[in-house]
Amino acid sequence: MKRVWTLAGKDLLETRRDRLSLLFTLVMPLVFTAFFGLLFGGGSDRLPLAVWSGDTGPAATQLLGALERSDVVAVHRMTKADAEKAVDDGRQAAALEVPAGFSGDLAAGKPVTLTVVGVSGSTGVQAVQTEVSSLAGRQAVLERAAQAAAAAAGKPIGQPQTSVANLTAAALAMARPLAQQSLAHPVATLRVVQAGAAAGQVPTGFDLSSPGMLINFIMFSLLTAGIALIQERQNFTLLRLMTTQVHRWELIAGKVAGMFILTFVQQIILIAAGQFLFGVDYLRDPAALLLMMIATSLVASTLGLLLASLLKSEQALIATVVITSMAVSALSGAWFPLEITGPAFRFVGHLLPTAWILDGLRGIILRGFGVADVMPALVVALAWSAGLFVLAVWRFRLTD
Amino acid sequence: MSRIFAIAWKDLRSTMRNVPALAMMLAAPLALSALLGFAFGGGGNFSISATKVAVADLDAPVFTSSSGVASSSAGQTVVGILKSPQLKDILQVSEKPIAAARRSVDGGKAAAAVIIPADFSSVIFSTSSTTPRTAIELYENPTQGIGGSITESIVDQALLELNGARAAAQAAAAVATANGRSHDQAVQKAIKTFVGQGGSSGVAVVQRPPQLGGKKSKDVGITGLVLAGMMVFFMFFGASNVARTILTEERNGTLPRLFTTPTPRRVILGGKFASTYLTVLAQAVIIVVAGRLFFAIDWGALDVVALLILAAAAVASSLGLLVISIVRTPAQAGAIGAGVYLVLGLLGGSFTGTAQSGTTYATVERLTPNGWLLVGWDRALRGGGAADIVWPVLIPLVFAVVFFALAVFRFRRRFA
Repeated sequence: MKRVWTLAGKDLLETRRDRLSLLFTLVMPLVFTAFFGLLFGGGSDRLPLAVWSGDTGPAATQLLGALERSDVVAVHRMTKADAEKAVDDGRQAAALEVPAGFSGDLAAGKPVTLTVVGVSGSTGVQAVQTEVSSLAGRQAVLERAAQAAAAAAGKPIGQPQTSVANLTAAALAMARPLAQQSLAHPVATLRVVQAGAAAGQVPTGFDLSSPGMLINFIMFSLLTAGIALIQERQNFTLLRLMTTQVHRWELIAGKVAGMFILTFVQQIILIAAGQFLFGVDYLRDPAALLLMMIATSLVASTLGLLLASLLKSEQALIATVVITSMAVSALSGAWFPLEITGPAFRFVGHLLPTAWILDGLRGIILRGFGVADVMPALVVALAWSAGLFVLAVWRFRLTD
Repeated sequence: MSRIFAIAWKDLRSTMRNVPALAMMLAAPLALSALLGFAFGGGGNFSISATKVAVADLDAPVFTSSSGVASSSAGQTVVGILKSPQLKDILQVSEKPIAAARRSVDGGKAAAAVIIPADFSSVIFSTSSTTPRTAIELYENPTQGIGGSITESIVDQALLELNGARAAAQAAAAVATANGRSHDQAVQKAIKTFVGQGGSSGVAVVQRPPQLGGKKSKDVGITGLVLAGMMVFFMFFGASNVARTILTEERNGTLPRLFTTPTPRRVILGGKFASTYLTVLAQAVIIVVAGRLFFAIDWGALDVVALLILAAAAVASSLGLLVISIVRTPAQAGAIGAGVYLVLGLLGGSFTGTAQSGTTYATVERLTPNGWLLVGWDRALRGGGAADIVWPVLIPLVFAVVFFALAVFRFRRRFA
């Protein structure tokens, strides 16, 4: 057993001396975690919104006022041509066109259309559209409520009654502030309760990105160890080792142990950074977290051993690791949550152990998962690791 | 000149026989694009699957026999909105008892549970100014936050309608009283009129892409943007694979031996650059054609596509040479190159497309050559002409010239 640890220690020493490996094991995952965390967390910046209005009526003025007070968008008034160009150049998240006749049509109860201009796939455009819909919808409801109230209440006794389409300014002027006051203090509201969330916990973009990038980059750390194994095979070092007292099983165990310890240490550092730098609550259940870390390192180390056993060149290993890690990350929900994908994609994703591990990690962070809750992920990871290990041992060669 | 092409041809043939290199250059971008298209609904526009929502309606209907209406349930109004045919592609709603609804969320079977309280109708239909407040509970799974947000937005709209009806009733009661008319009749009529006005906000918010040069532009499907991002990203790796032959030949001694022949060094290095450029050019052409054939991507006008491919090949090959000119061994080239390309891919938007538009990241994107190239591809996909991609082509070319000059400077010192 001592020889296993010696072999593992030798590989770890090589990795520690290779400063480049730090780039993939620590620097890149932290940079990507920060980037995606800020991107999907929304950040605190207001989205720049170019606005041009063909209407100067009261409803348009009120809508623009509400947008200017919004915490979501920062309004920049400009001409149509400038607004289109600013969106096209990426200087504005979106542009809003308030059409001529907006106020009149709204007051007349006619349907009105606002146009949001934005580039395809922009998350900013979706946020702007939601905010504009909400504020304009609120205003339209107020107008409808005032009109309905004025029509229903009728004119003072002795005067002829009227319809919604023909209301007097006086009746509306009386009903509007009353409706506005009622809507400002709604009796029915929405209360959001996060299932399993810790007291005061608000999910952030880092809760999504930190475990995702951990899974994404755990495989990159195998590059150095994998390349070392391939080089040792090419240089006949493995064959020469067999002339010593080292047994084949000790050689394989030493290689796997080296990769396991490497990925485990990497996880400790990345999780510590997630907990203390990005505020991701990994430590809600340390025992469950430990199981998920063991599961991750088992899968990664057995996969690393298999790839290094199967592939003949460093270049092939780099290509395979880059492609595999990206594909596995996408399928497992490391880049985007699987909830937004179709059922077939989710099914395929959950054939992989990494999707289960990510579910477990996010469950620990956001829902307070304990040991019992992460058991399914552990079982799937153990089954995969066993399969990968058997294949790796079968394909393990001392020479090419 | 023939010697430059002889060297380039030799490297090209070598690359075409290199399976891992071909996998990185062609299979990876196409496979990842197919994967992302598969994730978001098969390649067209971005679409997500319906959110599973459990609804527990505990609301007790209010009897309003005096007005001739048998009973009214605000809770059922909310359920009706959630189950409306217009929302069937967005929400998949199932009614359950409260405990089962919560269990669905706890077990990950539903993204959210909407729990309507027992006093909901009595509060909504009361016109008293001292009515207690009530709240619908949205019990959501924080690991499925997007589904929760969608449900929240829809329930908010439903509540706005109900609060609007209540506001109409309250205002009608006050105005009717001031006008000396019947309070009850005004309330019933106001609610009926409010609901009869459409049951929706009356404001539609539509989205369209920005116009290019005053022309109407096409809406871009997600697969085109994803493949453009992946193509530019993997062109860096393609260039790196070919440029790495300089290091391999240096290590094997064939490069120093080549330097002893009458072939000038600039011709040898020119041949290496030509082979790198031609390889990534071929890579881009194959990916564009494959994108057209397999994903039916309309890349845009031929001249625009050609300009973007030529510019991208220039940037990728010059950067590939620069990285190789800095490192000493093929292993270093693999690790440093991958790091540089990943950072550029991240900052330039190869993984996020136009998701960051309008934010600080959009400014950061413009500091990278691939960020500008992706702006160009976005415009090409939207139907832009050559005039729309002047800067997205010129700026990457400036990057290419700088990278190439630095690489030449490094190689001259190294092989002096």
